[in-house]
Amino acid sequence: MKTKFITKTLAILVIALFSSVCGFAQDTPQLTDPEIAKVAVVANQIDVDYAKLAIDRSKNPDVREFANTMIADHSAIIKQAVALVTKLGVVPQDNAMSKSLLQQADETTKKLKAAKGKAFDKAYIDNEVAYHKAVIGAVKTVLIPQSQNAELKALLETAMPILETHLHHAEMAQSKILK
Amino acid sequence: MNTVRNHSVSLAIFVVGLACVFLVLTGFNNTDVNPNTPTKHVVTIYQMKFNPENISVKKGDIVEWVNKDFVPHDVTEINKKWTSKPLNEGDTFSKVVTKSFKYFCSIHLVMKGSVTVKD
Repeated sequence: MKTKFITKTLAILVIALFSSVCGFAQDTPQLTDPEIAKVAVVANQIDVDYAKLAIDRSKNPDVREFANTMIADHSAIIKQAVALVTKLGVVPQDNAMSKSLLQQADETTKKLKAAKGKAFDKAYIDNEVAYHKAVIGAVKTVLIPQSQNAELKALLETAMPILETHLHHAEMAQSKILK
Repeated sequence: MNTVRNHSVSLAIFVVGLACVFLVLTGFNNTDVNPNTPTKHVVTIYQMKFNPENISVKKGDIVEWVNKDFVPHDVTEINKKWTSKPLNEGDTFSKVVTKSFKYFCSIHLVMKGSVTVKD
């Protein structure tokens, strides 16, 4: 009786795991290098645009300082990416992931524009924490593993510590704002 | 004939004498490292870290920071008593160390380091 229960439980676990793996495989987009280049440029440009909005709307020095760093760093990453695709003669291509990023950014920008004062500061920094977590996840699990060109892969790997530093910086600003 | 030989001997003596004076003035051995000569220590800024993060130096030594990242960084004393200008890729900043200090990058607040003066 006990053995039957364990077998049944194991079978359910195996089926559940298999389904989740298959589901993950179906959900994970398959990107070419020109598509990866497009995602990289779009993802960085979105954060530059959020930062410009923050400089325009916020009076909080911590928020403004963070936003200035985002503009400088993400612009530097874009510059590197553009230099690389130019060197490789690759034309970045729109794809489902870059379009989805732009659509989500559009919605987030509307929400940010509706917030004012401290509410804006909180919304901006909260979004920066969430956005960097999402981008780090995508770079780690999709963009780096799927890059075919060694230089493109190396550029994405170089961007990782920058993104991770931004996440820690955003979390610091978040805890300061909550005080 | 004798005059020419005398001139040659005089010239040789003059050259040897000059060499002796030079050696005496330079202490015979100019490859010795003066113990008071400051040492230059290089801290590389790479992949969003100061490397090494913590260093020990002698008073009067020079620390040079080199930015090898493509994003800008700076070197700022922990209480903001002094700061370098923003350092772009390849830029350097040097400082003669007179006392221990902690520092950070004011552009990326999570990047920190220290310089300790040892006796």
